[in-house]
Amino acid sequence: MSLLEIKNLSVQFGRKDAPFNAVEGLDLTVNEGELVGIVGESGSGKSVTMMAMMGLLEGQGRIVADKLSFDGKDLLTISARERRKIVGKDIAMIFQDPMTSLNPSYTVGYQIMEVLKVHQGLRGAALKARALELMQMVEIPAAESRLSAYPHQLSGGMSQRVVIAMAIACKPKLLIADEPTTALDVTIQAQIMELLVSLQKSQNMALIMITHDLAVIAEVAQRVAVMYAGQVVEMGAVPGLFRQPVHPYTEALLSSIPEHSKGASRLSTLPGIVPGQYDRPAGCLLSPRCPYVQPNCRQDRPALSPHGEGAYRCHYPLLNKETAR
Amino acid sequence: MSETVLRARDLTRHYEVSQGFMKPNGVVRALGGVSFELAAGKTLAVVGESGCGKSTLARALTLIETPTSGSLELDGVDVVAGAKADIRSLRSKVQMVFQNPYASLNPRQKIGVQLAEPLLINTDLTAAEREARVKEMMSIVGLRPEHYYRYPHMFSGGQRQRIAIARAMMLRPKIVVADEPTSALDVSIQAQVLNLFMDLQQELGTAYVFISHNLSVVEHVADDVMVMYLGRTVEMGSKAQIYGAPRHPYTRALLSATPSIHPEDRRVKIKIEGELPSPLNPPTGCAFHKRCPFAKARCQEEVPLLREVDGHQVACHFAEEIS
Amino acid sequence: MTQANSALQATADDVAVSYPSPLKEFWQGFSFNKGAVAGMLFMLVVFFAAIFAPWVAPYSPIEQFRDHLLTPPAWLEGGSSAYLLGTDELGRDILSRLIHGARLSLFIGVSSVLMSLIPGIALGLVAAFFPRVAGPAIMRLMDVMMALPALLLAVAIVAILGPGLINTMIAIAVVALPGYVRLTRASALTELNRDYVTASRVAGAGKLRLMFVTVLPNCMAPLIVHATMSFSSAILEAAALGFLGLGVQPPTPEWGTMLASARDYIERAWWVVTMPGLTILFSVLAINLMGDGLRDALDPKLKRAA
Repeated sequence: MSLLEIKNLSVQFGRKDAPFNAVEGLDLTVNEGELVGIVGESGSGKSVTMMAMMGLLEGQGRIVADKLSFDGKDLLTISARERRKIVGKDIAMIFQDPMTSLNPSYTVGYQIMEVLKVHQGLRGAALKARALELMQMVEIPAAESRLSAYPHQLSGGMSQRVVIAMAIACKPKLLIADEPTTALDVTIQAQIMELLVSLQKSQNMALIMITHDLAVIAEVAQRVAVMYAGQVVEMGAVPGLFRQPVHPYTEALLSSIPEHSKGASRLSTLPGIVPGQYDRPAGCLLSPRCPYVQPNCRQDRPALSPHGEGAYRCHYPLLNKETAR
Repeated sequence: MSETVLRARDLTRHYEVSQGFMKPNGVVRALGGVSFELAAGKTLAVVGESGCGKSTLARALTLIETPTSGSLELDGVDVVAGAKADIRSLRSKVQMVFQNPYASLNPRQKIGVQLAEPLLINTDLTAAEREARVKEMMSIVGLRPEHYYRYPHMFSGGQRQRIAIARAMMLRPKIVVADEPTSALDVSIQAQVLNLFMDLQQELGTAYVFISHNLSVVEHVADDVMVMYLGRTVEMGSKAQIYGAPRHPYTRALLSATPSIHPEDRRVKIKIEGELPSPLNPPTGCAFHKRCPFAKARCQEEVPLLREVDGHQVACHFAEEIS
Repeated sequence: MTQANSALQATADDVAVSYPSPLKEFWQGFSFNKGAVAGMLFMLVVFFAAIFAPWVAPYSPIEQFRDHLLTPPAWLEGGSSAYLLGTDELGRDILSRLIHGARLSLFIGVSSVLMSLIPGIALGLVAAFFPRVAGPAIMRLMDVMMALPALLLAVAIVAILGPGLINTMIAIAVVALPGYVRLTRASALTELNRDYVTASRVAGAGKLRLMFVTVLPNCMAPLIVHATMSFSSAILEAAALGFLGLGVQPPTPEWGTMLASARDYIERAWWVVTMPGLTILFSVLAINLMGDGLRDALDPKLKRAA
């Protein structure tokens, strides 16, 4: 059974009469112990999706979905109280900037113990021992002395490790990592990714990795969803999706990576920018930028069609095209 | 064609840092002796992680900061020894593009005014001539004439970076220092901006000092690559040498840590442990020895000097043994 | 080839989104705050009355109606519709005095704000741009000025210079100076670290150009808000100095002086004290509400991302 199931999720912002769909018709399933990547450019709605799922939008957006269930519980109907029991315990989240996700006024140890106290009711020596154990799990050197350090005394990589320790403190079934390595240096980035993947395996938790960096996903994920302007445009297994993208957007994203066009002096680009709140096209959202656009793309929005293990959202998918590698 | 426009020799820049009341000031060696040459129309990429001195290098090259010691020659003029009038005229020869296009444009000035500023300060053109030059440059970087009267907040990140590039190109400089110009942009926008850089280089013959931590971007734009670690050059050579046969363990670590779309094609795989050391208190000997998987006793005591191995420059005692 | 290519990209790049002009955007932010709009309307009325005082006011402010001493306001028993807000101890029409007093109070407000804003900005910018010698010197001087109670300092200055309109304004301006200097310096320092300032330096801009063309416009928003707020405190301080007999001298109508000269009649004729008091209260409240609205509209931190 899948751990997380999202069917036809939409998140609307703004006035009722002129709503802006930050997320539209999104389907996503995550199985237990699976590593799923969500990739998209800024403004594609990847973070909003996760915030909506956890009920963190604080009444700013209207959430509509056919199904939104986690571990057999319906997240749409449960009370705020029950939701709080799940979020933070069974679902944990890591954010992009480790420096701002720790409270600068308290020691690292205090912040980890606070989580353990609230969600697991640990006290006294057991609490201290568990906090130390967590610090060691995330491979922080000299863990015991670091417990009494303040966040500003730690480097970015160390802080991100502490954030991860807090996230896995309650043995969550699902960990959501929102651009967990974007703010870090390359060598540190590799260390954190490795830590996350090894924790995911050893704790057997599901991990959703949100990022704009296709290469990060290609390295670690089992499945990937590509988002564009609030919609999932293509979903599939890794590395198949990267070898043979079906959707023009995925293809364009891949070919705009410098790694992909070695030797060429120009990179192939997708002209234009992601449509914003006021300029969403009527038909396929990619139609103004798509190199393969046909007349009916500008009028009809394509639906999600299944394809192998995944799916795509396009009238003219690149099914028989040999993609250059 | 291959005239040298930029020559740095043993460039250093030290900062004094107060370490608290009644304690002696610490010295941060942000740049610890960097030498390189850049030919007209070529691109030198400077690669490194935070604290490696690449931003300090950028500030020294663009004459915002004077180096503590060493010599810097821009287009044949010695910057450190030169007269003030000379240095003023050098301003028009070296320009800069910044990392964050949201911070590098003045939010209260119209685009046209900002683009004309370098001309206003450095040339005697009339207002009409300035406007003509600005509009010409705007069309070269792919902006429309009506953008002249708009404010920066009306543009997306990619367009802002185009504006910033146009501003840097206004005086037709010989050298442009680009400090992580695409790291704040999305992948598809990054490709557009990189193309613009390449096109402008072809058209105007500008030399670039391209600072980046993204090795796949660097591989695309660079002719030569300089890898820096804690204020020193650890390896320098042509792109083919650095990517094909890296000799320094840190270069290899960077290459293997860069995520790739096809991880199975990775050329080198090495894992390094630990954090970047504090520049205030760098390790003795080779700055990299605490994280280096090949470190031996000698690395702790002796600073490795840059020397020629295999046709390019490497600062490692055991460069020959690593391949 | 390049041009053609880039131009092609640009046309696709360009999305037909019309952005509101800065002024319209400002008005949208400002009008969102209802209190601010109310405050602004009130102040418009006061300004109108002040400018056209000779035509708006029913009588001359110094004309004394000897047979109508201490007439209560029109709606009270014994009041007369000829003197809407009543008359004072010398039989002068209170409404007329308030309207003419608005001229003086607003004049004091505007000029003392300008007199501290302009040197404040200059000193603040100098302090930010010369952090080695001039900066600390200016800031320590400001610290000393802030260590003295504001009103005491103003009284001391007036005592030295002698009472009178101009000296009152100078005293108020001097007292307000440290606030402007600190604010200008703080926001200039944050702006100085921004890349666009470095970009101007790379382009060869000199210190003066950096100070006034590049940095200053970006520091104006908090300064405008602060100026509005200190406009109201200038009116208050002018009133306080007037009350102490150190401000504008009678018979010139000024709100604070009116309060002072009426204090003997508090028990017999409350309106003589209350009317100027209420006028000061409402004006200051209106200006502060307006300042809040300005802050909402100008402070980029609160602005939604464009």
